[in-house]
Amino acid sequence: MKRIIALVLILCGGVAVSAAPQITSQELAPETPEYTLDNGVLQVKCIPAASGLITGFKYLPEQRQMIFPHKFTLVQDDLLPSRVSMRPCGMRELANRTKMEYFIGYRVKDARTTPAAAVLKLYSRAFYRHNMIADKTVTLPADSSKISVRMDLTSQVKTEPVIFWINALANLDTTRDTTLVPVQKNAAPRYKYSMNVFDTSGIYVDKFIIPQTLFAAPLKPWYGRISSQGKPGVLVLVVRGDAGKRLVEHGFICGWKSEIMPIHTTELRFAGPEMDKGDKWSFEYDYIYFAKLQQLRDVAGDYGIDLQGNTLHIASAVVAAPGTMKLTWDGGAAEVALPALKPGEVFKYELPAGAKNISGTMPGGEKFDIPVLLTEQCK
Amino acid sequence: MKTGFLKKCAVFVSAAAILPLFAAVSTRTAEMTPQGSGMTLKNKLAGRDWKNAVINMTLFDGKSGKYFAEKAVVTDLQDKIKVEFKGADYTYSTTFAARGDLIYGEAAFVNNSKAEKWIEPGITAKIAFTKNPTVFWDGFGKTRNIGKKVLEREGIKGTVLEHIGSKELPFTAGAAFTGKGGMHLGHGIFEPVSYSAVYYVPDKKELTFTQRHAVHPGETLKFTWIIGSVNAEFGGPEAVIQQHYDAFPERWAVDQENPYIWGNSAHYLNWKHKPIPEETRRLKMTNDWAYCAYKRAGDIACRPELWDYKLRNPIVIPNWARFGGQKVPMYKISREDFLELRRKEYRKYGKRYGQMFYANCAGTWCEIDLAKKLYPDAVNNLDPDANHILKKWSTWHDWEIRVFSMGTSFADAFKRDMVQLTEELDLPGFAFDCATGGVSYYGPATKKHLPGRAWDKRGVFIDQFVAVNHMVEFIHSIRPGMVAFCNGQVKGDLLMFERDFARTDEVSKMMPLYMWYIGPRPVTVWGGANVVDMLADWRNFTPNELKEMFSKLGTFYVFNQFKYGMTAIDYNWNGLGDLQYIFPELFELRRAGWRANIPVKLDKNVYAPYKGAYGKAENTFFFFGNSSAKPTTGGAAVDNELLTAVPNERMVFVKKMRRTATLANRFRGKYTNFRAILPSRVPVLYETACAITGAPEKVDLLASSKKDFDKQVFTVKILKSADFTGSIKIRAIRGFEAVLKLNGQEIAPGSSQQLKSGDVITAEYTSKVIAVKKADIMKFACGNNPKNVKVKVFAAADDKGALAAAAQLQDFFKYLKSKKVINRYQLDLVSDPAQCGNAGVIALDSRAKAAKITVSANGGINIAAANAAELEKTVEQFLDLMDLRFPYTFPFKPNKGIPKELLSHAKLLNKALPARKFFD
Repeated sequence: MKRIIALVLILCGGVAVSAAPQITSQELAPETPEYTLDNGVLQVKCIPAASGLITGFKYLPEQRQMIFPHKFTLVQDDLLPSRVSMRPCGMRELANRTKMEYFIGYRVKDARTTPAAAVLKLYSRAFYRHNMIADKTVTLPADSSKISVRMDLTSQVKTEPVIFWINALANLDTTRDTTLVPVQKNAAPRYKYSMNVFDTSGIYVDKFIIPQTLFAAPLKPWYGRISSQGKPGVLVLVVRGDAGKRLVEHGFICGWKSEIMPIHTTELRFAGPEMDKGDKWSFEYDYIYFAKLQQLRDVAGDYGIDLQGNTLHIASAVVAAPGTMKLTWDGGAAEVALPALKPGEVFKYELPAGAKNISGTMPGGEKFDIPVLLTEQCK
Repeated sequence: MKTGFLKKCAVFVSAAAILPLFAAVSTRTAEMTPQGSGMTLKNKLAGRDWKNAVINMTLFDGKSGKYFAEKAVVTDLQDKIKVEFKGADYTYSTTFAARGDLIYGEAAFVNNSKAEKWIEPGITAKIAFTKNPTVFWDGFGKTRNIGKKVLEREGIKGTVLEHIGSKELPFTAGAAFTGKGGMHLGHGIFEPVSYSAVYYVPDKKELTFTQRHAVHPGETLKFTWIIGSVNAEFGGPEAVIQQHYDAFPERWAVDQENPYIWGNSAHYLNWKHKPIPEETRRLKMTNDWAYCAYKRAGDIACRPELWDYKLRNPIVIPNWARFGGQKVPMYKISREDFLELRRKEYRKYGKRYGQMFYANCAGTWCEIDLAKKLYPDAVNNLDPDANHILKKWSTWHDWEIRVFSMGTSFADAFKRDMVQLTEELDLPGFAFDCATGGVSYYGPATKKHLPGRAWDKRGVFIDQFVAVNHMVEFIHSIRPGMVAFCNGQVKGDLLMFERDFARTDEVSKMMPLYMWYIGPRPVTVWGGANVVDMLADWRNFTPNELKEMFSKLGTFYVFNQFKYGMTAIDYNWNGLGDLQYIFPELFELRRAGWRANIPVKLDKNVYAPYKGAYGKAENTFFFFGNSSAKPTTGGAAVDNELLTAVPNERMVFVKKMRRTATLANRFRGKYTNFRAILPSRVPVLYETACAITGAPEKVDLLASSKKDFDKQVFTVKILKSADFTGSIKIRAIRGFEAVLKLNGQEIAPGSSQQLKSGDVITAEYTSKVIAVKKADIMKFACGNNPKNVKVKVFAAADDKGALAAAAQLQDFFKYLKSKKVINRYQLDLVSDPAQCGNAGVIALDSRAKAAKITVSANGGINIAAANAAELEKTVEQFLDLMDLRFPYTFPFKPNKGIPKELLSHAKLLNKALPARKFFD
């Protein structure tokens, strides 16, 4: 393996200017705050009373808001318990068979900032209809273009595996987003749902209205969305650790869109473990925005990797220290000196023409590969 | 499309005919006269913010993109107006006449050419508003504020309805309203019109309604128009819709004698479970939704050549695959065994429990490979605004593709299968899921001579709802009395609203449009409370707090059921005693027919966010619900002009109670005024005691009612009035014969009478069947200990009907014992006629002249009928009375919406919140 240097390095304009993380709140209704977490790169909003829904996700350098306005109402009437009413929007967790109009009313355990992050900790006695204590933590690290969500679920009874949904209703543009869905070929049914048929594994570029509902066995524990109008920027949801593994092995990605509405929902569904009373199961996932990527082939830690022609595009969601990236492809390999990267920057590396089966390891040891893009409508 | 419309606005067909100006078509609300090439519409409703409108008819050629060049010729036909366009190769004529409060146009377009014509006829009304209209209504459920921009609705596709992807359909009208009045245009409901549009141009004050049709060479196409003026004081759209209901009652009419549609839908209790006759009686269940009694979507007959096929989805043992509670091993059973089981179970339970055969989602979905192979012409997948494939739908194991069931090979097969199954299984009717529209079919059948052919930029299409309505009509043609139980906005005898009322966001999206379509037809609501989802933090509540929550939830459902006239049985509602208690009143109101328009003004201080109205004229009912924690009282003023078409007819109301009630009424002009007293969280109903015509402007009256099982007496005393000549009409009460008296003397309803202060009007109703009083039932000798029942039942040894009815009585007491209402019972069957009439004896006779329940001098009960079937029904009526003697409320039962843990926490497991008996 010979050591080579990067052929191309571009630091893109519009790089985020970081600021000390902050948390503020405003009342949407009596005792119903909406929290704003801000690190100068991202501004994220969260409503604890609405399942801790992420109701705002704005990339500040471009003032790009990726969630439609929520139109929150706390409905209080004479005969029914007070309840949240909102237009469908934002990002949250659901449990299988819970309709989207229902919300958990989290209470806020802690909302604090440190130089490293803004952290919002939420608590609910129940996770929807399941007898579990739900602790949800939303973290916005300093200098980053990502938020991390951690769910700690402590079962109060012996329980069958719960199928979780991570439901994300975001929009990178005013038109329906295209989604990037890593799919396994010819997957067997999952949770009694048939999967759509793909002859090849790869990243399915779902810009089609049909099938209106996509069921895909994930090749990787993430999915991304991009503007259908060609504007750069990839918003990606990555499930980490054991939950990500469960998603890939047993779960599925479900997408739904409508031609007559600018909506393209995407859900990651996966089952947790069987739990005894007192058992705790935790899972973490991140929403990352890579402002200058056009598309996405893989996520490795906090890096997003794309391939345009023969050029690898590397972006980071956090301030990444310089290091060495190892690359291999059919008949070749390279160790690439990766410069320090900030959110909003892209490092480009020119591969030999026709390089195939590309894979690599990032400085922290996170591995990636470059699946093919599937641009034909699936069956 | 809007651009096209504006272009069209610029070109009006000019006049040809010149006719004298005089009234030609007149209703109570408007008068239309010829005026040049068009007409003038005069608003006869005073003070409604517009005086007249200039009406022009237009005819647009969709192929050329221009108006037809010919001019309209308007002819006065005395009480009709004819508008005619004549071209070289077509004629288009419309004849307008009065129909109720509407001006109704019957139109015919004759295509004499050798090519298909694409037409878009329209009506434009330039309205002389004296006050600018504020609200535009496009036919959908919500109105829009009028500003400067042109407002429009082009086509009939509304909000997407769930995963099935079809869409809401607009009511077939459009209008502009001020707060007081408005004008509307449209066409008749349920007509096969696949495209219509409505526009309002604010700066011109022009309202336009158009519809599109594709007309074959040589075809005479018929369609309709509606023009109207309304009093919008009680809601603009509601007023328009009520005019449609009143002018076309036959379009919503269903058979009052049909045994299946007027009770509760069993919500799978009698389909997934073995029916229990006694529970069926108690819960008044007369039909059920018999889900997917077949293997392959699209093949309800289970044809031998279609039975074996490759399933697209993994095998899941479906919950629904049960006939009468018997599980069906769907994937193991042979076709022959399956059909035998299906025949056996349907023959046993189908008609007895009104099991409506679930049929191919109303002919809109079919297993994908079957459709592609056998019915490719029916595949409905060219509408880009709709989904076409559902990967887990009715049968779970199939992928289903959208199909079109009119004029296609699939339609032929579907019809053939429905006829076959009706005979084979002796079906009472079919259940049509997905009975909706808003999806355009562009397939090959559009080339045929079919109704509903419209056109757009993609070509000729027919909306899905036209095909569904076609199939509903086909069901009716199979044999008399067949029921179409439809989940959607189409024709049908019984409708379903598939939402939990407590999902208020969802309900507010669908209502009131959904109800406007259903109108006076019976409707059942499917969807019980998901308390566990609605109140995720219920564990933080105390048992008392949860009980209060349940109590309020019960009131919420009671109020909504009275608001919409919807009845239901749902597991989740078990335990809410009020919901079972209200059955008699709810059924009675529902039969009277739900009204869109509620013409009652309540004083501002009267808090009644829940309201409903039913029937009309002398058969009117009102419901008010005060949902607050405090009682509320104030004046109510009923606008009688909106309840009856009879001039100067006014209703007298009394609170609807089961025993007695009194209410002071005052006639003031067109209004009937009374004082509404609305207790907290209790439904309050008013019923009509009588209708009086010809009374002076001011009359004071006192109405009262007195009711027992055998008789109901309504009395109206004229307290204060000038003498007048008038007439009186009274309600028809089902199962009762009425006698109308004035000061004790029988008079004919509607006859001319001299009336004055002090006169007493009495309407006496006598039950046709029940000749016992409540006291007779309550004191009927059942042994000395109320918990240990001893009864003798007489049935002649050779009276099979009576012996069968004795078993009903046995079931009744057995059920009470099983529910611990009584500890034990002893029912002795006797055949000695000498026992009849004795205390403690119930005598059964299925060979009498007519059905009758009487009591003997000794307190014995006699139940007679002319045959076994009638005796069975008569015994059910008797048991309904006996329920008061042995009250039982179904308790809360754990289910997915209210799990056991929650009920235990609330201390309500197997318990009930008793009925509050607010009508007693």
